[in-house]
Amino acid sequence: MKVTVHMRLGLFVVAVFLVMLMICPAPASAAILSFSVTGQYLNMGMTPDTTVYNSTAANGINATVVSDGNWKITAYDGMPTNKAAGSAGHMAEAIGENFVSGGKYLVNPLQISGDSGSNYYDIPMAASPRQIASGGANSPGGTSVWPIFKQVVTKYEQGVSSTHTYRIVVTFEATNT
Amino acid sequence: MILLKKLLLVVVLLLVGLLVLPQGVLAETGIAALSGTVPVSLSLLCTGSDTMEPLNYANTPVHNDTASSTMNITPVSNAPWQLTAYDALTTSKPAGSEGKMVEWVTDQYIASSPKVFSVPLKIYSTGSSFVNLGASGAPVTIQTGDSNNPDGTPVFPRFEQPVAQYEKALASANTYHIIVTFSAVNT
Repeated sequence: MKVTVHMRLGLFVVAVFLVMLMICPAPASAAILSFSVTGQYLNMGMTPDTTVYNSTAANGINATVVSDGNWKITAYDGMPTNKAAGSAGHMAEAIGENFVSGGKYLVNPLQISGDSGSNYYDIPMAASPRQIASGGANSPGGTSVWPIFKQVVTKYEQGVSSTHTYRIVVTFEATNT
Repeated sequence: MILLKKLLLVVVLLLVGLLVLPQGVLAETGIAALSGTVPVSLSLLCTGSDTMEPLNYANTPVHNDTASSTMNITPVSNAPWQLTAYDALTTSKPAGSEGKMVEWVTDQYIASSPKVFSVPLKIYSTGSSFVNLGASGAPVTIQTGDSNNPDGTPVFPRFEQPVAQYEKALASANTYHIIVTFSAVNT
């Protein structure tokens, strides 16, 4: 009797464990092991009727991903609190790090290139992030991407007072593909 | 009892599974900020001159003759602006004659005892009506606007001069004259 009960118990344990393997995420075949974004570009000189680029040397922004599988990096405007409605992808009026509610924003969106300037894309809203780079497994060294930003400053831009700036915070996301 | 043991075992296995079985990281994010300034700019184009319509006492006050005007007053700014006008008493215009037309010959005001119009010249103020032109300390706002770069907003000032029959007549070579100063500021 006891032997039968133990056998049944043992079978039950195995069955539960098998169910566990199915319902709990199996060890990922690909994972983002690490992702970091460094750098910023402040004090951009915005002369009307010109185009401004960030210099990778002086104002470089770097995104480094380490993955044991295929990966991609996307970028978008996360629209922080108070960033002017309708300004997704555009640099908008801010005081320090705080956006001005209902503030002005530049006529054209900021653009980004993940391929050294061969192609530029408008910074989109979060709902439709733009892929800027992709690759295969690169652990342990990782892959660094240096996006180039381009801002067309038109002759129609509105001026802002000396304590205000035009600002945008670009969100980068690394995911497996 | 056996059922209780089974339930206990299930709970334990679930907890172990959550702790032991490795979880994949689905996504990681990072941010970067960019910022810059477009400073406020303002310029004012102010050229030309105007003449008053021919005097007809049955048709006073007289106004500036826009058909012959060469005035070009154009503020250009990338921020809201305001255009004002006043009499700066330039070219040695006599004190006490602020806003009033004064006797003039060729290219200057009559230096000694010039005749002075009895009432000030009026200028049209947006949102108001014709108001007396004043001294530099009391400029009249004649128009306001929003950012208008790069082309600016041409402004055509309108003047009105009441003329009484007792205004003093002038020698034929002389005229009543005034130089109006326009000023644009950001608001």
